Amino acid sequence: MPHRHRTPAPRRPGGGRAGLRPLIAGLLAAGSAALAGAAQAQGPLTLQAHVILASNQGQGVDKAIEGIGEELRKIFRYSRYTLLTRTSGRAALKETWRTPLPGGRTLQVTPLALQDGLWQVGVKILRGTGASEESLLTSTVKLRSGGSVLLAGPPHDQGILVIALSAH
Amino acid sequence: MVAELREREPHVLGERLGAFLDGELPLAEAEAVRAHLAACPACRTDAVALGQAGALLREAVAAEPAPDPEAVWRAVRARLQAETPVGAPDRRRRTLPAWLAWPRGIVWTAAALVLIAGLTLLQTREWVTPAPGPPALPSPSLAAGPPALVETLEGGSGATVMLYAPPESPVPVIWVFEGEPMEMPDAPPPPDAGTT
Repeated sequence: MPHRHRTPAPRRPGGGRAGLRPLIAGLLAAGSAALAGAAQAQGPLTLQAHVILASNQGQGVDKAIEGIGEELRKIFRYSRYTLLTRTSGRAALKETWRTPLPGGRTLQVTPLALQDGLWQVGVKILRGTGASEESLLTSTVKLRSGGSVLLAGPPHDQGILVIALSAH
Repeated sequence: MVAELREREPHVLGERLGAFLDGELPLAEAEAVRAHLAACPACRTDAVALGQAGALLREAVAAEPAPDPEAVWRAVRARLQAETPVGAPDRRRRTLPAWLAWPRGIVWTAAALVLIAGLTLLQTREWVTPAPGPPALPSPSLAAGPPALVETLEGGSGATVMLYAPPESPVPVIWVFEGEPMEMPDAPPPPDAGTT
């Protein structure tokens, strides 16, 4: 059986394999950009709202909100703080999270931007539903993870609503 | 030579003589041919000549070498190389790398895409920590959190809004007065921010 010679052919510039290199390099560059974008996005923002009734009907603070009881007393000077509901949700940039509030109201939060770990969120309190829905409050707040803002004042059941809105 | 034999048809025999020499005639017919050859010097001479020609032919056939595929391939390759002009693209190179390079390139491209997708998923960590439902709610802690900043504030539908920054607290308070400003027992001191 005579042996066969297989002479390695010289590489040609611009050949099929060389033509793929720019494609692969472009894909890797696009991947790096995607990674940078993903690092910037950090996933959706976790939001939570504690809806509290502040009134003078009784004394004390519900156990679930004992951690902020003292601060609530300093700010609002009511005698009784009752946790009505607590809700949470996630919203990515430009997405809206809505949660119902007592009295036919709605809390609406929309992350608008994220820069250097600081979230800019749009906050709205709406009243009514559907076509009759009207805005009571429109605000823009900047929050870091763990930061909170208090929304207070809407009357409810011989007291006022206090909404502790936090971002994580 | 066969033609000459056919011209002497009364003697013999043509193809019958060849068949006789090859031992292919039936016995009776072969005996008849043998008897004729014994009696006919001309046909005997032809038979000897024909027999020698057949032997030479068999030897020639036996001596014919078997075809060598390698030799055939070498000849074809040499012919192709001889026909390829100097400086012209090498057809073998263009065909062979297309078979070898494309699958390799596809593998590298697929590997790069998988790497990018994997790193992106790891970065976002959506698949590591799926969210089947609402996230757990930690107890609120207002004073311990980082300060928040209210950038814009606007009331609507007859509501009045007001920003209040409690002293020594990182948590701003946005007051919403629906309709007429409500009476509040021991209301907080006048805010140091504007009213809309």
